[in-house]
Amino acid sequence: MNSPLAAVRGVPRRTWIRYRFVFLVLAPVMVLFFYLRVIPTGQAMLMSLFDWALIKPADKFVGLDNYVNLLADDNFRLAFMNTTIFAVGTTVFSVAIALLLAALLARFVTGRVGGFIELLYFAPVLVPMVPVTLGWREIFNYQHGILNSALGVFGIAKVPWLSDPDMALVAVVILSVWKQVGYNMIILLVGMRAIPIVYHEAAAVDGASAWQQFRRITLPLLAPVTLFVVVITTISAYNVFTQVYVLASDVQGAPGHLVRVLVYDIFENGFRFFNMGYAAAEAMYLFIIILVLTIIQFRFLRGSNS
Amino acid sequence: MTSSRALFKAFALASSLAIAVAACGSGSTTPAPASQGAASQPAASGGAASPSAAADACAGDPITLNVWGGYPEVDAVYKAAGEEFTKLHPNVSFTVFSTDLRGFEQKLTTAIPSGTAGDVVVRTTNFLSRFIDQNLLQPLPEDLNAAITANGYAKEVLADNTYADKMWGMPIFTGGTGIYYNTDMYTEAGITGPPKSMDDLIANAYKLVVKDGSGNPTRSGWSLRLAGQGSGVAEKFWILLLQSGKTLIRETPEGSGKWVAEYNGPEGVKLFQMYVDMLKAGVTSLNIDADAKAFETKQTAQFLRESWVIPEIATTAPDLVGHYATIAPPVGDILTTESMFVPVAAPHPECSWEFIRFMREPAQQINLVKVSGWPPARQDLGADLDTFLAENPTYEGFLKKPDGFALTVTPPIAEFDEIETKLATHLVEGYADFANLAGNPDKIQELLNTWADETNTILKDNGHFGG
Repeated sequence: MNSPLAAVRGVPRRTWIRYRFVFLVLAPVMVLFFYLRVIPTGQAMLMSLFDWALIKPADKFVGLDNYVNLLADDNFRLAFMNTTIFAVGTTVFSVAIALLLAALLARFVTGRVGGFIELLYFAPVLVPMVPVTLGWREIFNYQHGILNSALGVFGIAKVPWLSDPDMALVAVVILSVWKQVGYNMIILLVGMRAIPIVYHEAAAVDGASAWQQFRRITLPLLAPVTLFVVVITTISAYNVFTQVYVLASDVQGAPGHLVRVLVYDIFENGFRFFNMGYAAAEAMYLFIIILVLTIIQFRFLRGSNS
Repeated sequence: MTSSRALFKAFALASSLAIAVAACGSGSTTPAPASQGAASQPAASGGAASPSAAADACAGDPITLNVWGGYPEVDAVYKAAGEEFTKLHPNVSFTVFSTDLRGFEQKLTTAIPSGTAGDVVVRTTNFLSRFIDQNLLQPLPEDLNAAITANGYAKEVLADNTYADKMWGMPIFTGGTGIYYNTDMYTEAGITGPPKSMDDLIANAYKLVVKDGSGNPTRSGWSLRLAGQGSGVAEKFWILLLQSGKTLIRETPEGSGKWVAEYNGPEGVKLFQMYVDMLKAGVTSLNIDADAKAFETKQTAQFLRESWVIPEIATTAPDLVGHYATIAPPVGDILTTESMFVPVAAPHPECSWEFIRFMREPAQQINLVKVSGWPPARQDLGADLDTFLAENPTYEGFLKKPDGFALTVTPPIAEFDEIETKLATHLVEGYADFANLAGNPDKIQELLNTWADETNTILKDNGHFGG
């Protein structure tokens, strides 16, 4: 296997010249990306090795102490657990529902009606998270929330969505699935529409049912798109913050149990407790999780493509 | 295809190298903290703490003073004072910025070190102590220091305003707690007088609760602080703990600068038990509206809060005016002092201090409580304050304290907020588990001991443990 350096040397000069316009156009974006993403990430890596109190000089090198201490930190462990449950729940439900909706839309609804329905489902994606969360807080309200009223119609007792620690996590998942499903649906719908119709026609001629066509044709051909959606949703879910922050923020009024998630814990350690080195180590753990997920995405995508 | 793959590899290599170079580049120095301010500058010129004494402090080119605070309800006070100040100094104009307290604190952590904070910053000395350590805030000018220490301020205000044996800000208003109680509901429940002890508060709560057919409270007897982020839950626990003469952390021995957790004693267990017992009995609930909102919508009969609720009630629940009263907590309270500071990087420090001197004037101090509801830090306002109280008797719980009332100030250690916030997280979890903890003092003791261990560890990590 060639080393990267050898690979660079191996690029013919004419290839560099042929793609010079590409390099030129990409350069500003790459510079910005480097400045805004790569350098801060590198600095975060470095500061995670220091005992840095944000406004004091980081003059005490602590090696991997921050990383080791985090593993024994109850708040970090709780945040990691909550975030993982949230990510799994949000990903599974938002992708499954989106897949179902996309399949129904692709098969039964077309034209303007189809476009209108797509717009309806996509609308939550366009609304900022804070007003959405404030609205859902009213929906989840124990006393007069519409959700408990609806459950009451079926004889189901009121659910303490926002005050019970377990149900608060469920509430955040419901809110996030509602917000995410439209985006996933659009991506999957585009993928489904890209599948040549002749496959379905041939299967229909052979007597395949709608379910068999979906199971044997749509799902396999949609695999790369589905994997993309799964990984993007998971990564986004691991970065959850706004929903949990807003749901528990109204201390003067409606009750709201704080669901501790990783980004909230990072925020609290860094900006509230001034333990920036510690928070940076926590951020690096989150970075590693997301990096691993991204690698998995690339592996699966490459496998599917080949 | 080979060339394309090679190109991709080239990019990958470039990116990897870039990350490595970035890391190494940063490694040559320690991670850059926010820029350090210059060394502490000399204090503004001395003189008497009166605007006329340094009338030319704002002379010259047009100046815009930015006043930053964490209490939006006080903005109107600064704006009104600014307008008056502009009459004296026509070249000075004002902008006032405020946001919610936590957002404000977060903003300060980056704005003060980077020299982009306001010309006048309003916050507690305890919060700003880390910035003082880094020479990012100016010390109080001598004339203001002398005026404040001479008279007119409670000793607790001075103590709360002192850090490293020095004062850095000018106390502007204080935060304290009062018990709000709905007098109509008290009368309906046959309660004839205000709550004068913890036993009164608890007994009244059980009489005042209203439940639906399923036994769930529709009106809590006492809206205890049970949920929410930040340190507020622990702060309310602390206030109630003070009624038994105990506190969250105790300086041991006194004056040593060393502290140890005290909330896990028998009084703390009893207090926590009161919370979970009330939850189990349905006197209060995690599922109904709480705090000021509940009081304003008559979903609770009593609760503890600062005085800003009074003007809020006048605006959002005017029908409640005349149907509620306030009284000071029975034994003692926490006193927090919001002070005005001038960052080292402020471009017109003399003029900033001049405005701060102006804010100390009796007219501005009285306007504070009139407009925002927050009690002024100055106590020597004499007839002005008496007249205000006579016209606004609902402020009694904040402006009139019983004999022997004990005021406790925030421990002057920077990590106290971390201690309080982490305790608040535990308390919220504990309250949510009320069904298992009610009537189980041994389990409660075990929990409190675990939390106290964490508190003491934080103190040890910061060199402040005195156990």
